[in-house]
Amino acid sequence: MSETPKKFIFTGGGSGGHVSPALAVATALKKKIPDAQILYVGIRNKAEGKMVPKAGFPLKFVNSAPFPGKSPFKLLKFFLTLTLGMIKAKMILLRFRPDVVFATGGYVSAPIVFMASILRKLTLGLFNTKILIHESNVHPGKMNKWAAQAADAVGVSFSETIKMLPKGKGFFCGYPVRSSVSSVDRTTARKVLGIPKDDFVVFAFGGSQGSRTINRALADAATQLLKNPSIHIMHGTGKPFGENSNYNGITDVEERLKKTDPSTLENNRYRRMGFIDNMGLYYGASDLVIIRAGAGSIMEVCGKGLPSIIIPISGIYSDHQTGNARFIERAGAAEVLYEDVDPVRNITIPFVKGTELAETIFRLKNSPEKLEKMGQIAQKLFPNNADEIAADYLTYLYSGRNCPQKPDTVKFESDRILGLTTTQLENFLKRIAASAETPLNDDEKRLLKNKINGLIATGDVICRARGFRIAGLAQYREIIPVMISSGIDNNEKPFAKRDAFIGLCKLMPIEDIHKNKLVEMILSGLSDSYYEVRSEAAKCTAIFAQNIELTDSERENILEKLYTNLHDRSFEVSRDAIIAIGIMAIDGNKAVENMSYCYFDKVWKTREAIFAALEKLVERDIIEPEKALEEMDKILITSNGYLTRYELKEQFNKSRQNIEKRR
Amino acid sequence: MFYHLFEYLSESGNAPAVFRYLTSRALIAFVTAFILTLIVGRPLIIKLYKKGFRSFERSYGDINAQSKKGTPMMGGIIMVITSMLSAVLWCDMTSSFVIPLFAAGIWFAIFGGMDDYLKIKYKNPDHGLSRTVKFSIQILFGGALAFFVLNPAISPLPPEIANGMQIPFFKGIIFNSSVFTALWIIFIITYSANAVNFADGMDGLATVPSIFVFIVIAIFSYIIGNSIQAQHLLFTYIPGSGEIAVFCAAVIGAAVGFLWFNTHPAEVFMGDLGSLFLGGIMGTAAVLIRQEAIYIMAGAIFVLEITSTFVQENIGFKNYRRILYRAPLHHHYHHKGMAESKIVVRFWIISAIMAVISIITIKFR
Repeated sequence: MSETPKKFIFTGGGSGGHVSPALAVATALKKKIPDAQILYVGIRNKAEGKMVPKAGFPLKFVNSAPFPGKSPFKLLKFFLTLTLGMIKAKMILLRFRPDVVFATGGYVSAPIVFMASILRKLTLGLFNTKILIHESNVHPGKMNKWAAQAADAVGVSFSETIKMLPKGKGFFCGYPVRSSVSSVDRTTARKVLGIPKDDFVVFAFGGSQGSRTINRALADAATQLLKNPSIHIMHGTGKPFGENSNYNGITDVEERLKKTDPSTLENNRYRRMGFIDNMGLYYGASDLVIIRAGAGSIMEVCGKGLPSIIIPISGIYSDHQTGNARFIERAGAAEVLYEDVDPVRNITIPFVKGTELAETIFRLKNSPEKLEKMGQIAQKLFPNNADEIAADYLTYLYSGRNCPQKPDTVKFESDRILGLTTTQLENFLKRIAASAETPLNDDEKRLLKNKINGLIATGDVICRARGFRIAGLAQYREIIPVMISSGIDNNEKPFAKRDAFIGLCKLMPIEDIHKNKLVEMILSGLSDSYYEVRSEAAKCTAIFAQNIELTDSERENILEKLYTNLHDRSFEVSRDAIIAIGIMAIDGNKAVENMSYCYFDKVWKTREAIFAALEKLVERDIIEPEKALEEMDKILITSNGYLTRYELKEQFNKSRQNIEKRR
Repeated sequence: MFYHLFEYLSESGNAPAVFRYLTSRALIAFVTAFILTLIVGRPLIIKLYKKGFRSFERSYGDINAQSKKGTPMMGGIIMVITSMLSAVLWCDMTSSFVIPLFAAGIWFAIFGGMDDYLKIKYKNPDHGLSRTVKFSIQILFGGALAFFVLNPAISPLPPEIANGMQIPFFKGIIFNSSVFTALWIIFIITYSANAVNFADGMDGLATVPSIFVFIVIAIFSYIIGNSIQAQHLLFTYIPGSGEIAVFCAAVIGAAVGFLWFNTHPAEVFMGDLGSLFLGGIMGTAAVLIRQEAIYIMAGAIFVLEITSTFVQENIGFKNYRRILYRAPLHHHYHHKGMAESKIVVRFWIISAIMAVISIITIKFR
């Protein structure tokens, strides 16, 4: 094998976020190896189509598409597209015969990466190209998770990602950016912009098209902020790109300010810019930056040593940005504000409150030492020559020599909540409740609330249902009105209604203001068409009745429904009704008379409940002990089920525990 | 094997003819498989346990006095080994009925085994082979089998039978279409493999109904393969299909031997290896004698299990509600409190009755 690789294929695209790092590394590589042959592979009509020729590299196309989910027709189309893409990729690979392949993840890079890996295996080493992939975010994307198996190495932007990859594959290089955005020093920048050198400058930037959340939050915070005469706001609102762009940052902000406080429009300490082509100037003048959590922006801001407020894009399934943001926050270089939805007031467009943003800005402004520390940490977080490190690694992979030195990394604990599926989250919370895990800290609670809001405000029934259950486990009381209206809503789907009750049960006792609605919900639930709702409503009643004063008529209404449910087709409903009756009944004779219907119930679980209910009625002095015993004798005692008990395993556990204690 | 040996010997006039008879070989294959399983069973169970092929539970928790966690899995390997061994010993290996059965056994055993292995390795019941992969494997085999059966050059079945459908109570061929038959065969194989898999959820639940189905198939194979009997009972005669009965007998023997260990409380689970193995062979055998309708009837338990899951997931969950308490069906009863052994035995009873009914239809044509 010769010393230096000469032929490289770069692939990755779809969006600028995938193309820029690849081009950055390609440019750095070309500087190191002037006679390198570099070919870029992308798909048509995407960012790479414009960016790659502009950077001066040849471009070839393959076919690819993002993974479409489970629908069989879409899956078929996807497989066909992918197969076509892989065939084209094969031809490119066999003709060009690269020494190394560099991919930035995403579906665009899939054909080349997979084909290269297949060719390697099939030709038993004759076709021997090295594969290096790069991950921009903290959490590896779907494509990169698979590709990591096939690749020889994975360059990561965040050191935490190494843990999430197969052992030994990850190496930390940072996020490659091309020629750094030119820096302007603070004094010059301030002079150019006409800002006094001791004033406090906040610079917000949401990408070239702007971010609605940041725009609106900052517009709302403007009045408060501008009251302080030393604060300047530089607001990059972004501007619409092309005809079919559906968001206009400039007009959105203007109109909002017109409505809330027109005076801000005239204030010369509040600048609004649509498109910014000299970022360096504004970065240089800033004390604090507000950004989204895309890898590119984060790297830029940290590279400049600026403290930041990060507002990640929320999403139920895509936590990329949130993962990036939290990483920076835990390292101590930023503060995170979560854009939220409000299911209680039915606000489904994510937002950040202007007051919250203003408060955070003021707090940071008033602790200059903290700000300075944040900036220092930010500067050290990422190597600023990621493009060179990655380029060096490409050579190293090929020749096995000159391994680039690993940059220093920051140490901290992993995230417990991010990245969990809803089911895993639910199990995690249950384990906390069972004291098998340490309780959530405030920051985790904040993130959890944000996630729950997202789950509930979505239109998807299953997400909403799980959101209710998780809200119950998380003791998220503010959601109670949503649960109650869900329970009363006739159009609500069965699972979601059931889970509204389940969540509510965990949040008992409920504040008095909700009481009437809750009674209405229970009455509706007890006669719902779905058996699990009738059952959970009874469970709810059982807890509810122990904590709150019911009027006589309320009690009568509920009991009447419970007695009806004793004749229900489903044993779960009758069983839970019996338990509730034990807790609620006032007229002992009536209770017993009704329950006697179930004395010979086929399902023993129902009869089991009667024993417990009789016990409760005696405890509450509703019936005499003799009467209870008399009734119990009338109940069928044979059952067709029992609990298995493996004595061997029991002893195993017992001895093990005792031995452990003596360790 | 012995079949060929005795063929050779009887030609030189040295061996009793009894070993060439179908019934004798079938019964001996059964006993052989059973005894082999008893001998090989326990050492294999211990070996599986030691190698870490054990089951786990979905929910979080330690070894629990109530749970089956830690029971050796992939016990199907015991059945695979002993049934195949017995079949090799007593079947006519040149029969073109036996070859697809062996193919089915090996094919499904391998993939079932891979599925189990992945699940154990990742300690996650969702990380076995994906549903798509499983389906493709079944469809592939179904397609190959269809090709084999429908292609007059290699098919052991006479073409009119190969293309036609037969159903109980009606004599003769009902229906004649290659395309439909091919699709139907693929369906049967896929259904078969999955049905036994679903039924394998409680100790002995899949084993005994499989035994009954195999008995029914064996009886039908014998009749159909016997020109006198077939004519007498108004079946279309398929020469050579009697070998299937010998193979089935071997599998039955292995299954009965497995039951020795598998009945409640189970000391070993068959895993996907075992259930796909049994299902694959069942389906193939049914297709080879074109008595799929009888097979479905005799395997009513499997129909119930698969239908209950289908209904619960595709009708219930799509409408955000449960239709049964739980699916498959045995979990529904368990949820209502019925003890596992009771559910299993009741399902055995249903199986037996359905097997008997299937056999009765022989007379009612």
